[in-house]
Amino acid sequence: MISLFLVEDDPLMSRMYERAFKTNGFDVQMAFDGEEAINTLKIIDTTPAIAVLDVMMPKKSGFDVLRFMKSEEKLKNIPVVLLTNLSGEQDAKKGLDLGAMAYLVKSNFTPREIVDKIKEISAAGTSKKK
Amino acid sequence: MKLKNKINYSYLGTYTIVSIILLVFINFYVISIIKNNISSYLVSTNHARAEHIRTFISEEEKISNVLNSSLTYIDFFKKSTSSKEYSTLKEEITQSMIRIKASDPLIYEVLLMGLDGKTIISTDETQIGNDESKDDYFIEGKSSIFFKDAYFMSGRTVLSYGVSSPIIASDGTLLGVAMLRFKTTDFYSVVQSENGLGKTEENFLINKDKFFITPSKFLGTGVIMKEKVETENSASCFDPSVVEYIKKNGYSGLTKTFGSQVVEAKDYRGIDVYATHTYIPETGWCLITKADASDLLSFRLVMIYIFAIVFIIISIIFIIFSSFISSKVLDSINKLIFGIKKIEDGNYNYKTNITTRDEIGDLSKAFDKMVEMVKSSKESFQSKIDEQTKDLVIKSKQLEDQNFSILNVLEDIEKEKSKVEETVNLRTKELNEETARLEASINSLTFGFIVVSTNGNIVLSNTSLLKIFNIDKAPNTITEFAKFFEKFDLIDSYNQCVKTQETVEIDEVEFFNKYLKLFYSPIVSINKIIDYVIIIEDITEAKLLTRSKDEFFAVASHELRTPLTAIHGNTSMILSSYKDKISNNDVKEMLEDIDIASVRLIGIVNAFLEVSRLEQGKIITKKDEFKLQDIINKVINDLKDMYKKKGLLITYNQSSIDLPSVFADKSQTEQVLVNLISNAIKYTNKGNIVITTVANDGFMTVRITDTGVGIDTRNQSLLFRKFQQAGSDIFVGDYSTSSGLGLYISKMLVYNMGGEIGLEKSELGSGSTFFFTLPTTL
Repeated sequence: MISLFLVEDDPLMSRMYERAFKTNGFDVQMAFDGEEAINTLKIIDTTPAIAVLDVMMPKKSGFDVLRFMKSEEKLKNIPVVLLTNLSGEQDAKKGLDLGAMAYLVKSNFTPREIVDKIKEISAAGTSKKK
Repeated sequence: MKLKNKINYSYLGTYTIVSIILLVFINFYVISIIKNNISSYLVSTNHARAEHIRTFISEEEKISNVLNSSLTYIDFFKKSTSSKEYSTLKEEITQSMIRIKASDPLIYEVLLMGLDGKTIISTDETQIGNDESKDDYFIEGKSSIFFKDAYFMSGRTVLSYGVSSPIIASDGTLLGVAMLRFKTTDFYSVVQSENGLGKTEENFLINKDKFFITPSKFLGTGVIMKEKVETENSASCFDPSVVEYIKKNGYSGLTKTFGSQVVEAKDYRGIDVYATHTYIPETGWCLITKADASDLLSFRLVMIYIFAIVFIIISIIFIIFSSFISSKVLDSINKLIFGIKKIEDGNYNYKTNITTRDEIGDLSKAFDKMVEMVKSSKESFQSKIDEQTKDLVIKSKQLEDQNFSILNVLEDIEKEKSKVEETVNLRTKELNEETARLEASINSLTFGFIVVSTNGNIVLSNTSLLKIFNIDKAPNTITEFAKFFEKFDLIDSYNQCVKTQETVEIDEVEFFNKYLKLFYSPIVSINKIIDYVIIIEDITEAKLLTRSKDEFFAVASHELRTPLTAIHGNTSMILSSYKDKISNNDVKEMLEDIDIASVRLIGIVNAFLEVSRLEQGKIITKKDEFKLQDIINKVINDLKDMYKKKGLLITYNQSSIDLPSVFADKSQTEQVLVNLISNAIKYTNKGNIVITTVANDGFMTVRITDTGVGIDTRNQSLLFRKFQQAGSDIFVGDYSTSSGLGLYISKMLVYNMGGEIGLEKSELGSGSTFFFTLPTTL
């Protein structure tokens, strides 16, 4: 069971992806806005293997969470995938510059495709760790 | 006249001052001299008289001695009074006394007193028998010669003084006292004579008690023995040390020892006098000599008067003299002035002609010479003028002749002129109408209109310009106009137009809250550029409209995506992970349809978003060098399922093995290829699709030819527009996108990459050939 930290504010999306990840062998921990995500990450004992962040969120954006993670010693090595419906190239560049592993437009992929992509990245991440 | 007075006043002033100083000086000098003289005179006269008086007195003493030593007296006293001899002797003695008295006018009285003090014998019978035993001259006279100071004898008005002496027998016994009496009036002549000190000179004697014993010149004889003289002079006369000296030495060396003894003091009248005094030791009297100070010094006044008169005389002499001299000088100067005036009036022949051998004479000579020069130059000047006047007269004659001929010509011109005027008026009217029309048209334009002449002045502008820039009056020069824009350099783009002589367009210029589009264009007339026109279009609304439209698109697209993703995501998950949970086939099919529909919708939304971003210029073309063949092959491979399902064949014919690389955005190129090839597949039901690539002239041309339904000529022009679908009547299932934006997007992308896109040919029922080009690298 790979531990995954999912941050998504839209209930439609969160339910869908939670289901997708859970039925594909991921242990999912949730947060529903950027601030909650940061607070959770602050007090977490076991760090997740991978983080999947929505970008457009209330209180704090996925970029803010990503920035926070990269500033924390025990979180900065966790691979981060940004999920969004913004397809702007500048936004993608920004995300990748901030240290995200991938920037995926939700509407272009089925949940299954996203899960596969996450599996790929987390595998690469763990191999990197080794 | 002024000059003369100046000289006079200045001289007189100096002279007066000098005179006053002299006067004061002389005054004091004279006074001191006078004083000295007075002093010495006073003293000498005083001493002389004192000596004189002393001689009188000493003589009197002698007489007393003579009397004294006569034996007859001694015999007399021896006889008794009753004897006959007594009376005879008495008579004898009396006669002898009378003789003595007669011999000397000074003697006043002679008498003899017995031991009892009674007068026995006297030259004055009335005195005989007087008891004088109490008188000091008897008492003192018994022992020695005694000087009796002046006194009024009882019953007498005569002031007398006397000398008494004892008559002593041979055996030394006192027999009686003899006395001589003198009158003080004997001194009067000595005392009262005037001698050189003027009317106020006075000499008088005072006794040791300071009583007058000679009359006062001013107060008369009444003062004798009645009035005392208490003055500084009288006081110092009886100074003990002086008295002591005189008793010893007389008057010699007196002045040397005690000083001049002349005092300036007030006399017994209280009047200022110069006085001196001398003590007469024999009698204890004092002789005082004095004269009034004012009288003595009256000399000073006389001096002043004389001086003043002399001064006035000299002044008068001087004035006359200086007047004479200055008038001589002034005369010359006046002559000169007169001469200058004459010349001022125009008389250049006048000569001032002053022949005196002084500076004025020189001036006159020089002046006359100068006038001569002026006169001659004036004359030559005059002659020149006369000559020129002659010439002018001739010329004016010529001009007159010319005038005549000109006048004739003018008449003809006048006639012509009125004809021309008519024509001009007509043309002006037409021109005005034309201008009015133009002006109205220009002002009716909604965009701002400026005409700039080649020197930078704005010669024409319309009202819309004022509206756009919110001003009351149009700027006068292009430079002024340029100042309206903060960041935009108007002059720069204007100069560009001027330099290139071609139209210059500036797409977007900010002006406060407006967006403007500017056009610069040269105005050509007969192959010469006469002016430049600048058109200013307010594109704010259009821009804002586009922007808001774009924003709307972006937001809407984004907001649409989320639910669409949810639909598609869930349906696809159900169909994949939960497929075994669905027993009913209909339900499965329905879910499949839902999935397809959601995919389509997502495609449409994506297309909208892309278009909006393309139009905003937000899509960045990342140009790269790559082999186009590779992308084409990839796309063909990706679309394998799509065309295989329809039973179509796709072939790709490279024109040659060595095709150059293209310089374009890789993913965008792929997108275009996907669009065109999938269109071909969509609109072809049987047959094949052929793709060719040909390189020439710096471009790679890609052609996609299908054997599809083809496109009607009418619809061909609608192809690359937004939302237009060719073949809109045909319904074909299974579209991934039918947004009508596909070709439009492809067109935008190709253009951004610097290429071209279009429909090469199409025939209904036969098929279509689409092409696009991309720049190649060399």
